[in-house]
Amino acid sequence: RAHSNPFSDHKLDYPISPEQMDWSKLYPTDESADKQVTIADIGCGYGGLLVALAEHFPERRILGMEIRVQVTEYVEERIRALRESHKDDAKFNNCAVIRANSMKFLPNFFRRGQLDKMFFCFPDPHFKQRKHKARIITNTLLSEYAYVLKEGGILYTITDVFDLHEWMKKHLDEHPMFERLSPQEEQSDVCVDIMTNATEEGKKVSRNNGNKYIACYTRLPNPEV
Amino acid sequence: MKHPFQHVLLDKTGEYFFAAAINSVFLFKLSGSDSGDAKLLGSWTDEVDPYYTIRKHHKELLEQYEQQQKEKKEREEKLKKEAEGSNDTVNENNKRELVPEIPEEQIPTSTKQIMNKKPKLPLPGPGAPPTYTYIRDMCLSRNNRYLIVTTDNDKAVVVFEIDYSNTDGNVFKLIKRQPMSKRPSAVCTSMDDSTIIIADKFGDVYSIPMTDPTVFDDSKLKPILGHVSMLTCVQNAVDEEGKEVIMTADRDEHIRISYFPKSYVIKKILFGHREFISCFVLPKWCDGKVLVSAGGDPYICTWIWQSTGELKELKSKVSVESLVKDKLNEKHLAPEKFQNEAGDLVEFCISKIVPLNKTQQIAVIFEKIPSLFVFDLTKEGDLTFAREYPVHSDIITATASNDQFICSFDAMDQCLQFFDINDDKTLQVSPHTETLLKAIDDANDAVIGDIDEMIPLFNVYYMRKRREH
Repeated sequence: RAHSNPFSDHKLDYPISPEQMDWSKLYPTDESADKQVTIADIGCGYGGLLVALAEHFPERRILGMEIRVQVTEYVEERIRALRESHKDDAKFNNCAVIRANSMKFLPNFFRRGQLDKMFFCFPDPHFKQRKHKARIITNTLLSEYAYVLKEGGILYTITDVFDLHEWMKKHLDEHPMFERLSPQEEQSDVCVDIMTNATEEGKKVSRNNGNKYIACYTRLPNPEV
Repeated sequence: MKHPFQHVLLDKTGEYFFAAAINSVFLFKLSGSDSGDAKLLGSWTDEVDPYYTIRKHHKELLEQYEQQQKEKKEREEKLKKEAEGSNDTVNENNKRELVPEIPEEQIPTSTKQIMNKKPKLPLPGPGAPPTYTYIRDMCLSRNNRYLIVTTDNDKAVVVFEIDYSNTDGNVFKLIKRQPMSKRPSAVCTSMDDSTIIIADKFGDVYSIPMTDPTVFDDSKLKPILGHVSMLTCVQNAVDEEGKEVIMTADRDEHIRISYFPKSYVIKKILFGHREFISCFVLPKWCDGKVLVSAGGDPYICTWIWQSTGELKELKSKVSVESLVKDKLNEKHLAPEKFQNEAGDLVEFCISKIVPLNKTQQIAVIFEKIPSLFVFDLTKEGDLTFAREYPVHSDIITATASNDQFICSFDAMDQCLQFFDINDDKTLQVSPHTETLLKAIDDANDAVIGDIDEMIPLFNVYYMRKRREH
């Protein structure tokens, strides 16, 4: 299935709170047990970005979150195979995937300020007006992303749908806890390069000579309340 | 046949009693428990068309249809003109601009559906499920001056200023009726009563001013915060630093605390429930430091919500299963589709918690269980079961002032019961309430033909999640 309704009650496995999350199953061979996930790929799809990031940031823990069962299973298998073939250099032990509805349960996985990078790559555009609440970037969800992101952390978005790009930009621009990176900052960020070229969706868009629209934002400090 | 009250509310003084039956709200003045009488001060009935939403949607469709027809006509005329003019020498300036071809994926399908036929008004036919029009929620402002109710038809929040001294029956002075885009599920007011906070079924929270009569176009209202889950309870409070916060509880086990008015800053999230949360309260005697919450879980949670230790807010989970286990019956069987093989899977849930300030206790109501359970709650958040009070029928809802506790029942013969709250931490059925109950019953003009016309009085258990695929 290409789509999954984020509002329905799926059979999901999620911890009651971040404290009760057992990460050892996802990162079984990652040496430091108290290490935390700091990079999240929300709606990781087939995991292209996930494994590319894992290779680029061997010291960091990266988690892909995907709502579709079969896609998640595919990525699990992909990571297992990568780990197997890289037994010698122990690569890809720092990335994992989990089936999750991150629009509902993100704070169950991550503590306040735990993440320093969040990726939203080629999200479902939900074209219909009535379905806009189902979009992954809304002003109300951004407050939640600001909660799990640490100050100075970066939220990355990329899409081939111009309308959606405008929508995401509008909401991020309006949100008091986010500020867009300067064009120089965006261009020089290695993650932007990886995000543009490593995902399956990104490759597909390139093959079709489609456009890719990028907008990255930094998480501002909490205002005086 | 009189319809029972789906909502009851006592003001702080215990002098004024609000009760809602179907689409009417009644306000009574109670004259002390000794003389035992109730005087109807006034009432308000929601008379908005039950098909308001259908008609509104239809009107929009019709406008859209007419617009499309107009555009179609214009297009045809233009084509006709162009066809006529094509023989003339082409004027370069009139040439249409070349539209670059957009790949199919990029065409936003948000452009409205093209309608070929004039849309019909889809009013439900004879066999259709009933359309309910009733008062969903009721809330008094902190200063007791305003009553806020939420309604069904237009999913509105209706705000009244209460003129307690008015004697000609018009105690409810309508300030405004604000329709919302999704059904409001809980309301409260800001600490200074200047703002109404509205939580909806879609998970969004809106704020509107209390006294300003301006009504906004519901599509123009922007949420001040949101969950991706139905909201069940909302309450403003003051935190350990003296900052105002909004607490919101949802069907996904979360209690979120955001600052107010800067509600985009989430202060914290309280984790501990595994099922939907139906209600929470902040009892006064705990100086606002303790929060008590419950819902579909077999336990009640108490929280020291102001605790600054990360995720250290949960004080206790007090099991309630043993209290109700032997009271569950066929009314509590899980729906067939989710039933076990033996067919004996029963489920229960807590629908409401009412703080009893005088005795520092809380009264807990379970859905479809004819008993009231009272717990002691210390200032430190320790909760212990104290007493059970069996009653004659299932309890719909309840309310309390300092000295009095009122229960509303799913019963035609006696739909209310008054209790005195005694100093020795007991509840006792108030004596001499016959006149009072009769006065209230007489005033209640929400009448139904037979039991089938009753609106759903128990709808908390519907919130239990049925996880599929």
